Amino acid sequence: MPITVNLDVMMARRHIGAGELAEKIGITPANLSILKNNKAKAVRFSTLEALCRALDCQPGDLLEYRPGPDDDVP
Amino acid sequence: MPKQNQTAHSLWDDRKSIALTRVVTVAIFFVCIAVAIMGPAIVDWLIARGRVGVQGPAVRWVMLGLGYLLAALALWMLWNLFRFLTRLEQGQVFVPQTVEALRRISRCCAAAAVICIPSGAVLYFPFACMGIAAGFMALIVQVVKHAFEQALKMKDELDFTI
Repeated sequence: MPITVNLDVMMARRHIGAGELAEKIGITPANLSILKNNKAKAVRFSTLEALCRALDCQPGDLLEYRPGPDDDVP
Repeated sequence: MPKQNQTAHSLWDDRKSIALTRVVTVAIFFVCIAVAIMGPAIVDWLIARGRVGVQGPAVRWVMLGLGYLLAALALWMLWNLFRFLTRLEQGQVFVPQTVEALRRISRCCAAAAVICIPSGAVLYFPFACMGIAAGFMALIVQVVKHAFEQALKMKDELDFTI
């Protein structure tokens, strides 16, 4: 998937652990791990909002679009 | 009136319905085995009564062979149905094994229809009725299987929505 979640980068910048972040945003560590390892198929706006609030960042700091070789350029 | 409905609801729920279906499935499984054991006697009775459309020494063996083939399909189908119901009872509804069980049940019914319809036309008419019923059941189970397959995809999508 060309959308990458740069959660680990932002977590490292904010010096916050996975357990602490999961607790702050109210999701399970297992779900946070799915998000961190780019296994998620979709992200709820409520989760994104909680992440941005907890990490004091913008959605663009967490999500990145990297076009793959199969992606058509219009 | 609502109180009566509530009582009826508590007396009969989905769990009991599944449990009853499992019991009936097991009972039919043993009935199938019993019928398979009595197969030669049933075929001899049908031939003696002149109910079979074709006469000849090979007819008995053809009917027995078809009967055992259908019994094997029925037992395999019932076993898959039992496993399917057990999973439903355990709450494993939208899992790949459920879809696989439905696929096998549908194929068993379709195979039974393919065997029964021509046999009914040549050997014994009630076979054709059984074949039509089996074919119809195969189609219904196939539709249910597709529905489960779609639900499984949606569940997969939902599970990975954080």
